[in-house]
Amino acid sequence: MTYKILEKRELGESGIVFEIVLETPLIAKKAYAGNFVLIRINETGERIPLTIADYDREKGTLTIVFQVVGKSTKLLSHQNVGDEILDVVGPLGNKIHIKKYEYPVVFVGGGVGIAPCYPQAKELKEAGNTIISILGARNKGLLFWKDKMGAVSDEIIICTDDGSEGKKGVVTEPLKDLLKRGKLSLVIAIGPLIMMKFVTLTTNGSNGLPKVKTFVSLNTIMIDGTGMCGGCRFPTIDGKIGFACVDGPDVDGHIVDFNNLLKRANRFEKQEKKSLELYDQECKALKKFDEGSS
Amino acid sequence: MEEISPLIKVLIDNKQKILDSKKYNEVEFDEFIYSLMQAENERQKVLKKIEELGSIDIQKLKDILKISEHRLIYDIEYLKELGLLEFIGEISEFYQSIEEKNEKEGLFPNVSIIRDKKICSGCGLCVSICPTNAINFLNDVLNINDDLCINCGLCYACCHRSFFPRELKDNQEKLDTDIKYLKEFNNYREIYSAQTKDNITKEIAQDWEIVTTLLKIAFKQNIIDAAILIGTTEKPNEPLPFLIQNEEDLFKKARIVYNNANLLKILQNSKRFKKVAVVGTPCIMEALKKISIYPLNKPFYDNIALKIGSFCMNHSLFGCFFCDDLTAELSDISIGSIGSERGWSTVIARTSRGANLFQQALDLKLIEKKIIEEDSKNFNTLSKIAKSKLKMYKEIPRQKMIEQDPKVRRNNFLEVPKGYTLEMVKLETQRCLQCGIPLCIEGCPVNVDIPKFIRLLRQEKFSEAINNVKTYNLLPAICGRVCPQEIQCEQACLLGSVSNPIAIGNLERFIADWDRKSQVKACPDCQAPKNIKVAIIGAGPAGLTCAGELLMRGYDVTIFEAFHTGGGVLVYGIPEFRLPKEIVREEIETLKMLGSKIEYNKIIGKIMTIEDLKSMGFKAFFIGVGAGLPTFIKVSGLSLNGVLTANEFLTRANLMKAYKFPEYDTPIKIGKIVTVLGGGNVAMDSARVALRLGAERVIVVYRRSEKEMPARRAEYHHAIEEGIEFQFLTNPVSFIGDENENVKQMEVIKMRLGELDDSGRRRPIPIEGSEYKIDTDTIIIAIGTKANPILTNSIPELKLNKWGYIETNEQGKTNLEGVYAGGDIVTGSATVISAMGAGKRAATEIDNYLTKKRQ
Repeated sequence: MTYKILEKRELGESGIVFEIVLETPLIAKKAYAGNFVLIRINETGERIPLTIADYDREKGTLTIVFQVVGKSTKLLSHQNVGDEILDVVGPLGNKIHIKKYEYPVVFVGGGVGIAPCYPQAKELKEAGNTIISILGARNKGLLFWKDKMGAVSDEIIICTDDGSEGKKGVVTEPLKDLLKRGKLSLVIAIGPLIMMKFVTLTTNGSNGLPKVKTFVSLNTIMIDGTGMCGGCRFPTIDGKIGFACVDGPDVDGHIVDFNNLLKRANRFEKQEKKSLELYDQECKALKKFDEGSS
Repeated sequence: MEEISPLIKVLIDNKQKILDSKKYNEVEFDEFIYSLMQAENERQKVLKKIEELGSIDIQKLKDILKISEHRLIYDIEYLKELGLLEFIGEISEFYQSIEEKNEKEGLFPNVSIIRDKKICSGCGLCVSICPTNAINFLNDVLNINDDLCINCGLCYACCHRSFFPRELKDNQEKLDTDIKYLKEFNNYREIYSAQTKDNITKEIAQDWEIVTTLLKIAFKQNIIDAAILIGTTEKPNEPLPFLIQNEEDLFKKARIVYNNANLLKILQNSKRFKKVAVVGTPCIMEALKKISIYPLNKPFYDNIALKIGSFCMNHSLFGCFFCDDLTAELSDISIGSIGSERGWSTVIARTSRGANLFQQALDLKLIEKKIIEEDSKNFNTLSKIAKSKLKMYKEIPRQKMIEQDPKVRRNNFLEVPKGYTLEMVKLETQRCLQCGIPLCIEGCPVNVDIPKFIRLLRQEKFSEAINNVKTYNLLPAICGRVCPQEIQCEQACLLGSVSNPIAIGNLERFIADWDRKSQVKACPDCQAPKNIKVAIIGAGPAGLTCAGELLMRGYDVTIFEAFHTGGGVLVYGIPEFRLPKEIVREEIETLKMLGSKIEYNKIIGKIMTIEDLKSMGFKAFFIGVGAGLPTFIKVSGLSLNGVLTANEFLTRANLMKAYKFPEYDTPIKIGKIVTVLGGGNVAMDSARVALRLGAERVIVVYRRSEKEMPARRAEYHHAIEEGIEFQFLTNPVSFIGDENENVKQMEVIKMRLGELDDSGRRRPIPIEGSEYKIDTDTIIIAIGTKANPILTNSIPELKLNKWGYIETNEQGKTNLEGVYAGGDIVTGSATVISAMGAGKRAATEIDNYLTKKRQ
């Protein structure tokens, strides 16, 4: 069994966000919004979790969207249509609960986190919900899928840190406005940890605004994805331990101890940096070699 | 008045009970106590003198105590076995193993220990010795009636298998110039081939003509007035001990047979006779010899007038293999068939008594003889066979595995043991006793025919040996390395009671490695394809074994594995230096060669369910998904950076090859001081991996003591050799982090051991106020695993126990038709081989199920 890349495209204008469509008929058959897969690109590769951004049961494909942050994502971005990924395991994690909520459901997608919002928004929309989407990024170049998300949302709000598109500012500002405007049933925030942290602080009722149930999607460091290694564990504010892989990836954001999680996410920072440097050197050498031989 | 020894005290205290048993009357009892007292007093004197001298100086003791050297040696042996010479470091090996059973100083335990160690010869002497008739043999098994037993330990003291001074063997009439000595036969005068000239005897006694003739003469000449021997009854396979009182009975009642049939249990019946002959096997002779030295039952042994020994025919119900005596070396005259032509018997005259009796038979012309010359073919045959009982285990030590130097290996991931050389295999295989009832096979969870493969190895028939092993165990290279043989086959090995057990694991490893290197791989024969699909879920030891068994039976097997490679715990848990991953890969290749399909990256319960597999045509299922969920301890600071489970640590290092970072992308972080929590094999593995990854100090913190550690002794010693530190009776209280959420210290508390808990080990209890801190920057939690619910959650109707493990019967059958399970998902964390055993049993059951279904 191999996992072929059928399509590949760059998203936005940043040059670091990519969408690939993988041939994975068996996984596609069982995939739902909220699930993720673990992939290992090659024999020496590490196992990285990627949330499913879309799936097509008929065609037997999965769509994943990723941003280049380290060696593995860079290596993945260097794969092309027709290339094969060595291992794809899934679908892992829990699918989201689909039902009709009384009040609107708000999606907060930050950067590459916009992608996994899409299948969830689509399915909730199909279930008859009112969907409001807030899409945020550092700048215009990192935004993507505005139209795709627009198609499954009743309302869409764009914001960028530098104001290069939509409102200038962070996603919590429009979220506060929504909280003030009327009742909400659910907030689903997917994006950088720091963004999810502030979203939960906005919706936890501590700021005079109504408390709204908020799910965040934890994309922690993982190995097996089945609850075996405990590497993805996150502390909750009541002193318990959750596993992102089997309890999540979408978990109640109000119980997550983000401060600890932010530190945990960086625990291999040095090694990750070294790995990326070595890979860059390798790419450079390879490029020189290619240029020399042509 | 001398001080009364514990033995005498017990007997006197139980005088009434003893008299009630009717073995002794009052007069006999007094005589008995008197003779014992003499012996006890002598030993007390010896003990006192040794205490004064502070050492065993035979010459000095002899001079002071005026006791012969032999007697001294026997007394010292006795004291040593009682554990009374411990103070000068003299403890027998056997004593060490029974130490806990010596409940009272100065008394031996009862012989149940000999029975339980499976070294009972079945001679039956203890039955006659026991003053309260508490011992009997039922169906050849020794039983002790606890109500009658007075715990005097006489049975143990008299038993020739408990301790037997070597001096007893080699000192027969040493001064007699007619005595010759050969290692093979011990002392002897002459060896003959003999034939009876007495036709009646010949006709009736057949094989036993010589013995019968000798007994006949002995009766006639009034040398004896009774004989005890084993004779046949109407049931040919049930020989019984008989007491014969005259020549007539000799022919009427009993046809003598080779056997010991607990003969000496009737020794007590001979007390009314004055001159008793005993006809018996070497062990019977040995037992008689022992009580002639230690007067443990005075009225009953000094009436023995003649000891006729029969050659040992390896009566296999008992531990005959311990004994190196073929020719009944301790008899007056030995008789057997080996060494003579058909129609003739071999006779070894040993003592003057034996030689005289034989001479009388010759003089009466009832027997004719031919001397077996020492350079004749018959002599050679006899000595060769006799020598074969001279077991090599006494001369050859257990071969020690060559290992990588600890100083070197702590810096690499290469395998620690280097394997046996051919020379070592030759020596080690010679140590095997080739027992009649091999206990090692019972000790093996997959019942490998261990004696057979060792025999084939000894004959250097390597390919036959590996084929034999693979009939039972398809993964020998793995088992030879990671099985805890010391608590399985090797623990059962009889040699363990007298020496070190045979190194079964090392030999298995040798033959498996030989096979790996050879061009043509051993591959067991498979049955014709049945075209029935069976799904194996989990490619760990249980699943792989089950798959192998089913493949051999012709099933169409597909293994579904969650990871990207097969082996389960063998690849993610056990480190390279203990089990090279190449070996696991090769063993899986063998399965593929047999036709197995393996689907990697398939988490059943996620990508497919059992129902999906059913619709794909699978007819039966084996679940062997292991216990893949870490256990955490309840302390604060669990989520600090630097705190990780052994599962994560080992999976990174082993499966993802993080030890080769950055060549492999998976990172691993190791601090300067690594602490590992736990005392099992996983803790040892984690500690040793940490060391190899560059930790400056590795400390294993375990809440119980060294003794309770579940880790294999060998692995523990390897860890010590490599410089790993251990803090026993220590338990963590909290993990303390710095401002960046990195762990910097672990607070621990000292423990003490309390009462026994459910696991049979003493429960650790915290000692209040004993807390202290250990500086550490990595904490690896290795305190066990639990059931992973991913698969079981997807089959809600599958019956689980309260801990989430699958409930099955012995054969691995679950409550669902066609669904079987085995390994850690049924038992909780256990060993590789027990998982393999479960896989094997389930395969048989699946085969039965599918066969029945097809009919």
